[in-house]
Amino acid sequence: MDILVFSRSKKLPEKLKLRRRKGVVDDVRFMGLEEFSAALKAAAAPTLCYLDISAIEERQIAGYLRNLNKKENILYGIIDPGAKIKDVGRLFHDGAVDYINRQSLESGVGMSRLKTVLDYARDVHPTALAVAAASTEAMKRAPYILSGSDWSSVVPGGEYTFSMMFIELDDKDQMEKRYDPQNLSVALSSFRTYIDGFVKKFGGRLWMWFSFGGIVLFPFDAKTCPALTCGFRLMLFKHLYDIEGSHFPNFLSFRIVLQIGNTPYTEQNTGHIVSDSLNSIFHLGQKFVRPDNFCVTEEVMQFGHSALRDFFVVAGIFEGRQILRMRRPIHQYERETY
Amino acid sequence: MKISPRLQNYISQSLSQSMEVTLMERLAARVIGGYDLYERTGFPANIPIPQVDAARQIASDLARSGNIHRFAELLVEVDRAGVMGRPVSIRLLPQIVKELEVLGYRFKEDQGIFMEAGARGKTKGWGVLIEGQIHELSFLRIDTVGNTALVRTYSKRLVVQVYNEVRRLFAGIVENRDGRLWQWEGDGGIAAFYYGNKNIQAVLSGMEMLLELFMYNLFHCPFSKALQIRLAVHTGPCPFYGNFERIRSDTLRRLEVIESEFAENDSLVITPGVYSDMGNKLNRFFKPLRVSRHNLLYQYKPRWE
Repeated sequence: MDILVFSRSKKLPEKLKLRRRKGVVDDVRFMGLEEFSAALKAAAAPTLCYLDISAIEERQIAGYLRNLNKKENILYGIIDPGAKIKDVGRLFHDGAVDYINRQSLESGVGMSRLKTVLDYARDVHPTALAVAAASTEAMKRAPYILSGSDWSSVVPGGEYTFSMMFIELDDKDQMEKRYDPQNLSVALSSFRTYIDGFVKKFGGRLWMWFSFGGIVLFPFDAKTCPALTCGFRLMLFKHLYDIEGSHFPNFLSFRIVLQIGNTPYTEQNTGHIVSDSLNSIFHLGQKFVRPDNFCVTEEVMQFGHSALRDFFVVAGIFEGRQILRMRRPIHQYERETY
Repeated sequence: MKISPRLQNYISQSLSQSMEVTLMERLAARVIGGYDLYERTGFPANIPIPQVDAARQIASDLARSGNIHRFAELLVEVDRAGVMGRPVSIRLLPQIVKELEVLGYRFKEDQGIFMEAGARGKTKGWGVLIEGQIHELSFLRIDTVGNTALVRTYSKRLVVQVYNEVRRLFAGIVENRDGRLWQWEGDGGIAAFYYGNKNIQAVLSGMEMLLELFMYNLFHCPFSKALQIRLAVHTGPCPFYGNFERIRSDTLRRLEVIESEFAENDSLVITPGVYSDMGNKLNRFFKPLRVSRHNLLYQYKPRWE
């Protein structure tokens, strides 16, 4: 877990006595209040934030608290040496996990207090702590074998880290019942062509395809993740494809999953590939993601364009990893008739 | 409309070798309203016009009227479907199509129309609209919100750079659907659509613009706030002039009123005439807006859950 402390006081770091501690505290950072919003927005990993309200005007405190309550991966405590908070109980009802007044500040926030705080949070805010556990689990992932920013250094037979995208149409059983096999085959083939053309613009390559969906690989350089933008655009512009390009009479619904994973790369006999990442993306796509949704692992968000962060919300934990879901764009006037 | 003597000659030969005079005249009348072959040739009404003379006269009149491409489209249609159930094989059709391609047009099989190919540049009239003539078109009006505030807040260089990027983005969207940007004045403009389902093309262009601008704001826009636009689509008759300043049109005037008075920021409004062409899939994206006791508009405004 990371700890962020927001304060105007230069003496606070010394008073708090917070240190890194393996397995409990990964990082401790002290920041000015002016960095508060940006730092909260950027906090991808589970984070315990301490906000020193001594330099904040009383009428502004509620706004800061609202921000702290917004994100599921944020736990927070309030440092209040001036006793500005009149109703400390209310603070805890609203989601705080610690409150440090003048007396507690003088004795410092040592490791034992921190453990107590985390135990309390585990009981009261299990989701945030599950996120923490998931994050730790994710740290155990296999090391990256970078495939680069394009396909030039990817050689068949080698093992690489890719951005892996799973995409599959929903309601395949219904489609098989509803449509004539020949018409269905034409429509599915046109859908495949659409996906193939779309992902190419982002450096993706359709790697495996089954009738209703498949796996797309994007080279991964651990600096950017164009695949995230690709998936985002696929969802955002889907209705235009439905109207202009799709051969299906109804609006399409599909699931997309994006993760970063290692796999041996071959161009033929992809059905024989043994890869944990490949297994996990199929599980994620078929067992976790709800119809018409785009989900990504937390790891993807670290490399994807930061502007997209606000359009994803926590969807839950799956196989020890935190999964985020893209908020759905609403284009239709009466969604219930959809 | 560009023509060549060779094309005119092919049309003339094709007509005289493929059909009798009455059918030639009927087809010509579908392109040139009220076409009267006797009046055109000067033959007395009681004397049959020889096939070759009739064909030559029609080809010449079509060339002069600037509608030869539309007549070629009609010949393709007749060759494919016949006339009133009777098959008609049109001679020299491949030569006619090829000659039009040499002149810079391409034949769109799915729509059965000739379009400016664009290899030698795209013109505002698609190479087929005739100066001063009134045509039925669909128009998409684009307006940037808060232009004055932007100009006051940011440097002129930055504002011009953003507007140029947005213009390029929007021109691409319009031309992908066979439309043309007729006018662009810094912070907005007007796109025209003439071919195919022109109302649908205009509406889809507007919908795509809203989404592409959203992506532009996320990734590229240097302003601290998102750039916003208002869009409106209306259809109706309008005279065509290469110089936009010369165009006086009630359709464009009404479009301006609709956009400026009824379009919300980041939304597209369309008029009932446009909405009626939307079909079952597209119409569900539009919310009716009652703008007066008897008038409705329809609005598309994407949002997030």
